[in-house]
Amino acid sequence: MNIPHLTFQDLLPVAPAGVLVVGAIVLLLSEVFLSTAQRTYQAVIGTLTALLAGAVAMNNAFEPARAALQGYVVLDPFSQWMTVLVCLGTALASLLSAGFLNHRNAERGEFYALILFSAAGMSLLAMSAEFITLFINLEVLSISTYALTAFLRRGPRPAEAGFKYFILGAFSASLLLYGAALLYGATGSTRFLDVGLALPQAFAQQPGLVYAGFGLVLAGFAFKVAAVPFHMWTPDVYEGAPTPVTALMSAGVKAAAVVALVRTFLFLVKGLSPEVPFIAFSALALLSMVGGNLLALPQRNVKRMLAYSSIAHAGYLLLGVAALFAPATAKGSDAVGLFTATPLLGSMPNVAASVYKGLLFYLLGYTVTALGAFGTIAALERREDETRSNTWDLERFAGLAQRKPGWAAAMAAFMLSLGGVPPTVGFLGKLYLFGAAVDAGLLGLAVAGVLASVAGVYVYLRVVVYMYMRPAPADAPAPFRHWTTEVALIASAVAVVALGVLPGPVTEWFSRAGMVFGS
Amino acid sequence: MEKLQLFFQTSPVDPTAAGQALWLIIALPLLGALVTGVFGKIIGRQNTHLVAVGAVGGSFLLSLLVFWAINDFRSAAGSPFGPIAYAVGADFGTWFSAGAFKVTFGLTADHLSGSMLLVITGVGFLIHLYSTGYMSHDAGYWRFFSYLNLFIAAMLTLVLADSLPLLFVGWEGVGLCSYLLIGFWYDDAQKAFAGRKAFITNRIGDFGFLIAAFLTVLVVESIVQLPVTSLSRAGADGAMVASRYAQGVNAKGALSMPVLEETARILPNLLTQDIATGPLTGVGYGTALTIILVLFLLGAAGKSAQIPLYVWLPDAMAGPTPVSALIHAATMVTSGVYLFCRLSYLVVLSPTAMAVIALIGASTALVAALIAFTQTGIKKVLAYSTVSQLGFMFLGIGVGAFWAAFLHVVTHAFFKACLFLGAGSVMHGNGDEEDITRLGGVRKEMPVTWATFLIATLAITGIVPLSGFFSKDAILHAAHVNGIAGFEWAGHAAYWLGVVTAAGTSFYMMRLYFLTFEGPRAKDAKVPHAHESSPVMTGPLVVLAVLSVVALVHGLPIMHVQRGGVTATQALMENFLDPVFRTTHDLVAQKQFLVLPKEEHGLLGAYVQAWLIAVVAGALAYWVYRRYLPVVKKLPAALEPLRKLSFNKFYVDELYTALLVRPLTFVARAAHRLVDAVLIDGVMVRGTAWVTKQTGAVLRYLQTGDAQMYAAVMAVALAGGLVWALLRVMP
Repeated sequence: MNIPHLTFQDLLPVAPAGVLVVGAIVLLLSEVFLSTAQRTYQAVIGTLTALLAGAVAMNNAFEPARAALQGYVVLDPFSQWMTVLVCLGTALASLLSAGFLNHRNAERGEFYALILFSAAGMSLLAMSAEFITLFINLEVLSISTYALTAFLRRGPRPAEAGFKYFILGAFSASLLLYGAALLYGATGSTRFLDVGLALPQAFAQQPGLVYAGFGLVLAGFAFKVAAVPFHMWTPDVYEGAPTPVTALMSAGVKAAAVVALVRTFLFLVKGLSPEVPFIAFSALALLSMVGGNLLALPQRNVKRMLAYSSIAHAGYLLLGVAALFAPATAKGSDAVGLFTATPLLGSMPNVAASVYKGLLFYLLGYTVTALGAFGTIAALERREDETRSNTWDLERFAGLAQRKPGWAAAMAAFMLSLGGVPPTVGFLGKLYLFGAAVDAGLLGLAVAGVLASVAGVYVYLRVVVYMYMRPAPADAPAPFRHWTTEVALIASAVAVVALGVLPGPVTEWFSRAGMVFGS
Repeated sequence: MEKLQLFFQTSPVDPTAAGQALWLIIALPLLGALVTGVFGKIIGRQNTHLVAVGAVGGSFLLSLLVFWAINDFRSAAGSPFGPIAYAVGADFGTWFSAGAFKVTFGLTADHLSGSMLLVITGVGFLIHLYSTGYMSHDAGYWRFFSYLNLFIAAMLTLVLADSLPLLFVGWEGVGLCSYLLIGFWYDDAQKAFAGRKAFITNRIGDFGFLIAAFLTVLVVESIVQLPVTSLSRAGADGAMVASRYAQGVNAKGALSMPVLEETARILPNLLTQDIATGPLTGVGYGTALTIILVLFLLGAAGKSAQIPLYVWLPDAMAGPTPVSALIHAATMVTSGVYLFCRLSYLVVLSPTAMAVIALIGASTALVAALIAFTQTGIKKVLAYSTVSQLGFMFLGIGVGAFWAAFLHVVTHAFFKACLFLGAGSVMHGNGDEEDITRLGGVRKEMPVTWATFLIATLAITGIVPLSGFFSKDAILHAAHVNGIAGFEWAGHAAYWLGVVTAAGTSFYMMRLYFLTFEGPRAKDAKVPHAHESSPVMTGPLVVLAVLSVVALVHGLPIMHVQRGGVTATQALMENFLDPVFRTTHDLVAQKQFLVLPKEEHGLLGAYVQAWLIAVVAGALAYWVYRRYLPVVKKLPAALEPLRKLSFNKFYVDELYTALLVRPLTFVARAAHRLVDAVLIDGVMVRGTAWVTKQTGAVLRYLQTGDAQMYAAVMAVALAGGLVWALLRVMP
């Protein structure tokens, strides 16, 4: 057997995932050897592990971009910053889970271990540069989340959600695998570098084969980022999963999938006619932005509403991706349409750096905001009415401002951030992404996105209206309190506002280190 | 004498440091406004007084130091066109920029703005002091002092700004404070309405100001585009002018004062040419300049209450009296005059604009004086007198006597502030009685108020040797001897209007004085006996009365300067402002749009003439109101319609209401009912929301919860995408 020679430098990119896995194993063992009733320490271990992994990733993020492990993974600031974001989300989700699970007598080491495994999968997915590695990491991530979705095992809803997620996830994974196989057939390699090199010739010989592979891989990713029309599982799964898990799925899984998608398609577009990927991404972005926001409108169920909102946010992210793949020579460049690039300056500027910065900043903003929002929802849920349909109804929020002004203020900050209202981080994230899209000349698409997000603002403000302008129902339950939940909520609320007011240092990091291997 | 001169010319503060610290003068009252506005209620009345008065007092001391520094012969403010002598200043970097256009945040104090500094902070300090007594019973004291401090800060920004945009910040700031203070007692609908009227009228003027500034940018940018060969100015060749000009515009922005001054130096040889680039292509430079100046005049007419926008000032008397004294007499309303003194180099390049300014000023002076004849409110008379005196100042601007107009700003600030504060003191001591026909005989009961009021009245009537005489006489003298090229008739008309107004001023001011202070106490007086105000109120009166007298030294022709071998005699103020108006003088000499007299006339004749006018008109007022009317009780029937016309202010307000307000209100109502309520609210806002919501509701039914269906949708979407992609490659 041919054992490759590995150096420490090769292992550097996977070090954060290694930390996460070790932490997960510790948690699994703790379940065996320690059996106290009080298990908050497990959440703390999970959080600390995630933070440690984040610190390692942040250290990596300033390394120059390069391939590692024989080109199976890459070490670049883009994926490492993404790992930092995932670790941040994981830490917050662990904290939120402690109170949530405690309330339901469901605290188990496996839960945190699964969260950490899934985070390791996300981290590795973001840095995969080879189809098999990509697929395995996707499955590591997915199987952990399938298990987490059905973790509570009470009532029909978690089981239904877990099952649907598993079936449809397997379906999409097989699409991706099939696409990868076709591309392997066309190019003779699974490593992105080689695929990228061989594609132009393969495309010239077998355009149909390449297009089929391209489309299948794209469908697999579109499922993971929950882009319309591959989004239909999202509301059902998000609603059925334990709320902290939903938070992690909406932020972490999406972030990892977007980063992996960018990485993969940077190589896969080589040699293709440039309009095809551009139009494909533009269409996904448009459908997601419009569809997500429109579908959120009639929802009275806040958790479901946030699920649709996450679809819309995936659309905004895909808008940035579309800007990245805007064709360098715009066809009919004086016309402004939904699927045309009309650079304002006449020539196509290099928007890659600002897109990477925008994507990372948007993901950061979305991570803290979504975790905060889902965290607040989790705190307002009651175990007793888990099976009832009004668990997450807007009424739950009525008069929250009088009962719990601090919670209401935090939730208002999250909602405004999701709607993209200054001075929150959500506004800046949208500003960067839409700014990059406009620079790339995606005027029609950007206008459509802004209009769609206006419809979204209605959805978010409705929650604020309920909290501040509706009287509290007489039997309104008090939110359960747990110090971990409060720490997580305070941290995310502060981050939402602080990053919205002073984005300086973070954007500085992201723009200095936002380069991507292979671009 | 020489030692004294040397003392004044050696500043204890390094002029450069003084320039760097100019922002402190503005920052102090701004901080005061913040503290009194936010914490005024918490820290209490006494501390609020301390902060507000202290802030302005500190500003005054700093202004004194700056004033000393700009008298220093070493002082020089930096500018792209070489240092400006007798000025200090600093540029704090770019404020904002858009494309090639940029605005820097720069402050400059020269002899013109330096004098304004002293007037604003000095008179402002006295009025703050007076207000601590006057507003001693008002619950909104903290709000009042916050606004007042904010006003001082804005006014200082206006005069220290070295670019038009920054000047406009101050310009709008003083307008805002004026609005807030006129409507200070906002629960009285009448007073709130007066505030609104002032604000809206001012906005009309501001519109003119803005358009003028925009046009100026276009003119400056078109000059930058001109070929080197067509540029020239006295003392430099084309290439050098072009490069320096472009650099200056680049460094300081098109609307900065140094660039405007350089523009004026370049313009004389361009006046007959047409603009070649930009949106103004085809318009002559001379025409453009005239339009710009007339638009600036509209702006100044709003702020300085000139025809046709003077109507707000008399109503502005609804505010507390110290506000009338500070804002609506001494400082804010003179900012139009200040603006034209600043832009004097542009004014002297357009005879048309000069004639318009002179005629507007003279007519305003006369109309306001005629209205003042019959008003019965003590503050109303003073308000119309202010409008009238401002008219004199514009008359002075129009005939090129910039220094005289500015001297009138200064002297008017002293005596009119004194008159207003005196009026406030009279009202304070007479149960807030404003009607002069129901006062009378106040003299003995309020000796200090009486003495100071009399001095200020004599000053405004222009009796030798009080300060008002020198400034007004200098303006009328200039109107008499200076000729506006091509518009000599305008100068003559303005002169005669001015002389008649001067007689009128004396008449109505003496009428005010006699009715209020002399004679027996009116039978229907509110309180049987007046009481003298507290020292904190009379103190400022005394200081201002002294200043109204002492300011006469500015008008004394005691400076002798060598001009081309001839020794010319200049008034102190003229000499003092000489560095400011140097470019202006050069341009007058170059273009001869303003024909100056070859030799000086004797001044004695003018003195006697002014004295006669004032005394005769004053005596007439005494005869009418203290001898004739108390006996016959009413005017002859022939004069009654005239009285009515004047008392109703020539029905100008009614005219404006009928011509402008009503039609506009009608259009606005109609637009609201039709466009806003039906089209926008109904169709667009609600309609869009309804459609969006319904779409969402329909889409929702696709979400069946059936996993097979979800997978089918994915498969169909994928298949559709693949077919589309494949169709692209299949021929």
